[in-house]
Amino acid sequence: MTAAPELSEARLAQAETIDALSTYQFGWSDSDAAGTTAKRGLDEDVVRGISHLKNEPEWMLERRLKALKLFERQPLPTWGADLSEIDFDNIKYFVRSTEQKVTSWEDLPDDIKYTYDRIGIPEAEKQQMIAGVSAQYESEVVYNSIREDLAQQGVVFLDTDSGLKEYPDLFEEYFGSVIPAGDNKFSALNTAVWSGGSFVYVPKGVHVKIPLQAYFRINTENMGQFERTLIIVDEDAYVHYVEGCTAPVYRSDSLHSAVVEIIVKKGARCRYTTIQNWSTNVYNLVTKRTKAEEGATMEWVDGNIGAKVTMKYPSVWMMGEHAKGSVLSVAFAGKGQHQDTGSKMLHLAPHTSSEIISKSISREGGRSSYRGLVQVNPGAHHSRSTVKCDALLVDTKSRSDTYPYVDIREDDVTMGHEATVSKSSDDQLYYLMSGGLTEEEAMAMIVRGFIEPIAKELPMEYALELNRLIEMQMEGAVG
Amino acid sequence: MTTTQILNPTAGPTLGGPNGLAAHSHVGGRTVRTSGVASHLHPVASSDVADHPVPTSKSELWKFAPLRRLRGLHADAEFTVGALTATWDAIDGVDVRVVSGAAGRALKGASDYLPTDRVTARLMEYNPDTLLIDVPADSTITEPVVVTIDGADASIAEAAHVLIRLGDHATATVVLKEQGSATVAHLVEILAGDGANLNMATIADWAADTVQLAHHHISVGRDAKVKHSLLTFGGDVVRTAVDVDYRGPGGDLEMLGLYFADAGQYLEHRIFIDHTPPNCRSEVLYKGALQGDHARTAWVGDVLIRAMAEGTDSYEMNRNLLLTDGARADSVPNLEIETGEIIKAAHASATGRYDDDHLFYLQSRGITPEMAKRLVVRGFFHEVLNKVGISSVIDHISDTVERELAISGM
Amino acid sequence: MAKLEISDLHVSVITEDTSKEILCGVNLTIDAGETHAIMGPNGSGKSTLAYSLAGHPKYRVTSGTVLLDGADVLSMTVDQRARAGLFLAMQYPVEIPGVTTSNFLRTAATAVRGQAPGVRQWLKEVKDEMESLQMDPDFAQRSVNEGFSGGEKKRHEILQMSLLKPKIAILDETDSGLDIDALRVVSEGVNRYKAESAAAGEAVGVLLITHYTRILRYIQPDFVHVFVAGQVAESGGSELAEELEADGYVRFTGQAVPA
Repeated sequence: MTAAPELSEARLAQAETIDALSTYQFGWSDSDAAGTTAKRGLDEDVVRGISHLKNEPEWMLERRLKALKLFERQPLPTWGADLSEIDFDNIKYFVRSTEQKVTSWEDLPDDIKYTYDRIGIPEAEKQQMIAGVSAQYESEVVYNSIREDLAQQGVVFLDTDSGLKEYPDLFEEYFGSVIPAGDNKFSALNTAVWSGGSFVYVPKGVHVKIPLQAYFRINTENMGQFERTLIIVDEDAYVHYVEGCTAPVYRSDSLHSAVVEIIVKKGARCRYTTIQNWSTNVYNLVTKRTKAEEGATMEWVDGNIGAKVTMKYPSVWMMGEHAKGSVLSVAFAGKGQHQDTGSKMLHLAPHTSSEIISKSISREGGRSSYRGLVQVNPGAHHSRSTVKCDALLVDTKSRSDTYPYVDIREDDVTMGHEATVSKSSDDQLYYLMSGGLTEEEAMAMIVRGFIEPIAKELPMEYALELNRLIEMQMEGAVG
Repeated sequence: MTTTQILNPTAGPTLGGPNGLAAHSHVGGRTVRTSGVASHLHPVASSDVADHPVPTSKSELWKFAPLRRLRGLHADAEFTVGALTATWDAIDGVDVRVVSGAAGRALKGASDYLPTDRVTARLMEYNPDTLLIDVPADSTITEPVVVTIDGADASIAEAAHVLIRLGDHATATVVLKEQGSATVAHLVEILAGDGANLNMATIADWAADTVQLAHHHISVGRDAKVKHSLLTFGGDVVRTAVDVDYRGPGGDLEMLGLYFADAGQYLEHRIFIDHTPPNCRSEVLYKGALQGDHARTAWVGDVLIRAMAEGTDSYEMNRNLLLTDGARADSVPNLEIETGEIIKAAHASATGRYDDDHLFYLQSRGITPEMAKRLVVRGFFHEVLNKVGISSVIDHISDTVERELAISGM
Repeated sequence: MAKLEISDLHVSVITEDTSKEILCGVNLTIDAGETHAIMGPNGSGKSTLAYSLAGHPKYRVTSGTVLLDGADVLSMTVDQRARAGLFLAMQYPVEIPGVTTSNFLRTAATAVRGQAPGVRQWLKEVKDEMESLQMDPDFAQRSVNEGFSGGEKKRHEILQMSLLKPKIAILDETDSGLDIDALRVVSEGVNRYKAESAAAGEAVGVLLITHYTRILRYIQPDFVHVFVAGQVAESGGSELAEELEADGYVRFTGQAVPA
């Protein structure tokens, strides 16, 4: 672990007390210039303040205030992970890290650049692997670049705040149309205090050939990050959006509660890839949902490696005939982690099909839960759904749960669910070790093989990152 | 010799007698046991009614049930002395009788059972009588013990308790046939001694006006083998929860279920298998068919494999066949697993309709569409029926399935 | 005497999203006692013809007629066609779990014959046919086609033909996937039924669909039709099969297709 430059004495002293720091590769932190002054706790003034600072139209402020009331009214969910330790009064709901957005890499402040260097954004750019980078640092997007040719095709890739300013009509039409504020307690919270995120619009028939990428980080202690992403893929268009998260470690718990709304229009296709690697003190409570119109395809590829608690169930509402939804998900629960993930598939029209493939690995007392709902409504005849869950428990103190709700209200459907839980077998280990691998390497290889079906769906650099993360997670897994 | 006896307390309820306490390890008049594993699926176990609030549609374990049709059975419907009777033919070597009063109360919870819901807690508090089916240790009973439970009045709420007790290394086959009109809370405790071998089937073929909330608790002894078949057809609302635990390693449980819901009918099965000792096996296969408007079924399985239950081998399967529009099947095969040192833990659930290719194949041989469907439904249930292993039950169920199929003109 | 007349038959296959024409005007007449072989490369529409004649819901007849002894086959349901005397031995018979073969056979025979066969006579009939086809008697107690090998499934198809006694039998690639012994047993079964039906004065008409010429050494065709792109491209006698054996389908498709 190398220390970041320009760390103050106080920060160093603080760093020493961060117990998890030594085990978490991305767990450095830079100076907290932005976060120290932000107010903790949530009330109407905070919400008004956010809206005022952003110079938002009146209707957005009204939505925020309405959402705040919904948030206050709704109880915490009782069915998922334990959320009782979240202290909503001890969270900063809005932090502005730089006064203005920058358009080129050189203009970024040094400490932010350093942080991004560690994640590797510039390299990725140089390799021309990234179509556009929208890097969220703290609560606002500060760096945003998009390749010329995409702009020429009419593809919009902005931070959400700019999206609201530049495309107010599109925004008012679609914001909250997929996930209303009152959907759940955390979508209400997000709607009240959202800041940052991505706004993507892909015009009719445009195929964005390379993935759009955005990196998100939480940096201020106790800071909630409430980014809001809105993606509209117009008829027959295609886009692959890639979201990745890494976060530094702090002592007290952080809250990340994003909302991602996607509209995939007739015949269009959208893929949304996430590799979430929040530090293991973050509550990651995210609502993601797509409305897929006739013949549209939505694919969620979702990797959950970090966070203390994740509750995330990417959903597809198949609104039109022949719409398709799929979720490929891999969850990795290590010490002290609870990955409560899954999917919701709502079949609302005939000939719709959905597929959920979920793989989870639990070790060191970690808990991974698959929680899913497949609902086939009356009229959604000739619908098909398959759900496959595989769980790997690599020791005797970890936990794996499967809660697969299936609700069929139409006779003309095909629905299947399968799940298996297994332990990496000693035979496999022995075989690999007899070939000269250490036990650790052998275990990592078995784990890689286990998640291979997911890894192969990722863009190359993400697959590599996932492999690296898995290797890191598996360190010390043996013995 | 045939005996028929009323199953309800004959001399009115005797609440909280001293003998009642002896059956439990009460501390300060109440016992609370939790599963010790955090989950939204595990209720508190306690014999104190006050520990079980009246369930609402928001309660996880009651979210599918039509509470308004339960006639207050889940809440505070007053139990009365009623007309529910049990009838059986005497069989040598098996002691079947209704045990009343303090002695009956002492049998409450004999399978080391504590109520996990309000209805069962109230039942145990109210009704001291127990229908005891007792098979002594080391005996082998070849002829099935058949007890018919008959309801005569659905307008009153009743409570019934059955205890099936097999001594160590005993072998027996027990059939419970439930029929007639009733509004009944029902507890069936099944205690299989070490090395015992029990094949047990329950046929719930109630009249159309019956509401039944049943709870089966199976305690599987060390190296015991239990086959538990639950065949649910009749009734307006029938909800059966089956809880299983193992008292020692080597327990082997096979659970079979078959249900057929018609228009307006609600049938629910909830299974909770708690694997605590090592090297036990559980295999669950439930199949259901639904036909008609608002025919509704819910099947919720939960297999918990605790950290110490190494060597567990578990499989649960639920399949539903929707024969017509307007029906709804919920299926939730949960798994909660705390150790990787297991042989197998898998579950599967499938819901669908007829396979068009099956129907085409049969019809291409001249078989009418109706007959083809009939063959496919029979075939669908065949896998379960084949395993029940009690010929009188198989015959009865085959007839019942034909009767059900005739309803939709097949 | 039976006669199957197929005139200008156009058929589309319905997939999830689209409909595609596979048969583009098929003309073919099969008279009682005749054996017609239809040969063609993969994807030429041979199996579509078989399934369309049997009435599979996946295929939609867009125009043309099919008459069996003058009766309109296309207006009949699947089971009515079978009862009218049309039989399709399928290339890929489906497995039907839980339905025993014996129950299935008896139900089918009852439907086709219009009355339940007498139990004793029926059991003997099934037993004899199974013996001739060298089938294990245990099969009767197993679920329909479940766990049957490829060869066992094909024998089971021929067993059904012998028991249901159709006027017109369509054998869809009955030879595919069979080793030489199984091919011989199955072919003998077909020939036996041809002879029996002829002796009974109800000589069966056979439509033999195949990719290979191999089966034609065992079942002698009276006519050979080359099927290409959803149509009969050429018709002839058994000499046509010999040509295909030697040269493949190149002359008809304009490209080399492995025979």
